[in-house]
Amino acid sequence: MRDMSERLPPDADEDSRLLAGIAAGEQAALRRFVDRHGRGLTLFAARYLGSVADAEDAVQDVFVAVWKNAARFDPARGRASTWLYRIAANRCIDLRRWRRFRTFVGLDAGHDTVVAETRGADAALGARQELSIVRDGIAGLPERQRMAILLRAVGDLDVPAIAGIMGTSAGSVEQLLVRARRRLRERLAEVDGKDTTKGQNDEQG
Amino acid sequence: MNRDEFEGLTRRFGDDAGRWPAPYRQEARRFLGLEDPDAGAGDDDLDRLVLASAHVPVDESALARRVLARADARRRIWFGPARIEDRFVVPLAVACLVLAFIGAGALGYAAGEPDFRGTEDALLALAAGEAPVGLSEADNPGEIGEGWL
Repeated sequence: MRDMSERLPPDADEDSRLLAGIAAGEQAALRRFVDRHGRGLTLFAARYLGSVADAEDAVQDVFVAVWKNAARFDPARGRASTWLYRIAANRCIDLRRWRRFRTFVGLDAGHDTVVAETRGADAALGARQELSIVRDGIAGLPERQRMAILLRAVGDLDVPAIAGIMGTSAGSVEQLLVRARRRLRERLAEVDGKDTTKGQNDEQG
Repeated sequence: MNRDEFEGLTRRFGDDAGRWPAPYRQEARRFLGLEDPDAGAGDDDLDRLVLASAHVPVDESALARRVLARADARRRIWFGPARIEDRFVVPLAVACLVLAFIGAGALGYAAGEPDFRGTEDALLALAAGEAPVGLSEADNPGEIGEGWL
């Protein structure tokens, strides 16, 4: 606790200061930390896991882990947000493996519930069709591509930070991002093409 | 994001939107019309779409309450029963079942011990080429082991 505060540079960001407070057992610091990152982590976990309920559990686990291990955060080794998303990514991977096992033994149905949950909301809010296509596209991406694109778009992390979180090289992350974006663009173009064809057929019919 | 939401977030996270946490930071950038220097134009647009599509309602104050309750419970873990995490339930149940089988087997062996002991003694005697206990030559005048070999 005091050691960690001493390690903080004078211009340390708010997250590093909050982690120092959490390491010292300050609940107010934890509350503020949850306030800052609760939404980002929930969006990331919900879209990665395909379930809002699983995401809520995962995010709670992440913050409890932060409460327990804040003293282990070293600001010299990277940003607090990178450290936080690394914990979240590992927790999500564990949860996904566990859910796959439950599906295998027949305890879970094993389908993407976020897509189902948000389709109705889209219709109610009149959200754009492309959001729905992208949402479906993300759900269909391979896991590592999905994680990379979500860390980039939701977590706003740069390539080296994503590489650190995923335990791979920056080049691999670039490849994952390129492939993920290409697949999403293809999906958007595919649906757009179908709509155009349908429109032409309607005009001819 | 609209003007009211932006001002609310300014009060919550400070005047410098560049230091806000994600994903508020990206949303503020978009609201203010600022470009992300790290992303290509097309990639930036797609990332915005990914972020917009990731939207789910989040009650941060409820989340904070639950996290604080769990953090508080962790402090008192020695004074109450620990909650078993979901992922440990099935392995724990399997381990309990195996222990129950072993226990039942041991109990069954203990309960039937007098009968087993006679059988074991007879088998040991046969292996050593001696008359089984309680089976003297007077009772059975034949060759020892006759009928077995």
